[in-house]
Amino acid sequence: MHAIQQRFAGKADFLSIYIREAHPTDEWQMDSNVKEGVCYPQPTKLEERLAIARDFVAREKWQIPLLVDDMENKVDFVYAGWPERMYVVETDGRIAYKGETGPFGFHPEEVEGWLEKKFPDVPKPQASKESLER
Amino acid sequence: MSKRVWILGSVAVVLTAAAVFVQTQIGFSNLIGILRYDTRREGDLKVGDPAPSVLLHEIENGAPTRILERPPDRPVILVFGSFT
Repeated sequence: MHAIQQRFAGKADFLSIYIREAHPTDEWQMDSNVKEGVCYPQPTKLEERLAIARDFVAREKWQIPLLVDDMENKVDFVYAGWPERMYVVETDGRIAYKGETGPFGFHPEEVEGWLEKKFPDVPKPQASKESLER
Repeated sequence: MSKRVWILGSVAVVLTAAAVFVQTQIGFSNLIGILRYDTRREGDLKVGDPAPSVLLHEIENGAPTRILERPPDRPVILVFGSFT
C-alpha cells in the first residue's frame, strides 16, 4: 500500500480508516495474530480503539493518514468496510471504485490499476533485479 | 450386507471427508468464527454514488473530524481495516 501511495504522491490522496477489530481475542481470534503478538479484545470505549490504532501505526510504521471510526461503527456501517475494503472517491465527490471485502476481495493492485489509467504519465515502478532474473 | 448398513457407512464416509476438508482448508476454529462473527456485507454504496461525508475521530486525541465534506481536489483512496 505504501508503495502505491508513494508512486502516486501528489496525484491522489490516501486515507485509512480504522474500524472495529476483525479478529479480537474475545471473538474470532486467529492463530496468526497470536504468533505475531497482535492480541487485543474488541474495544468498548473510544480511547481503547484509539490506543490500538496508535499501536498499529507504530508497529507497522503506517504512513497513510489514519482516522478512527466511532464506537457506534457508523462509518463501517455506511461504507460496509469490515474487515477491510478500499474505495476511490473522484474529484466530483462520487465513488469511482469499490473493492470487495477482504481478505479474499482486498486487492490494492486494482486501485493501482485505476490510478494508472487515471494518471498514465506516472512511470511504472522499475522491475526488481529478482524479477528480471526470472 | 443390509441396506441400512450401506447408508450408515456412506454417511460416515461423507462426514469424515467433510471434517477432513474443513480442518485442512480452514480449521474448525475458523469455521466457528465464520459462522458466528463473519459480518461482511456488500453495503448499499455503488460506483457513481456520492461518497457520504462521515464523522470520524483524530487518532491523536479523539477529536471529531469529518471527511469528504466537499469534493476533493484529488482522487482519494479510502482504506478500511483494523490491526487484527
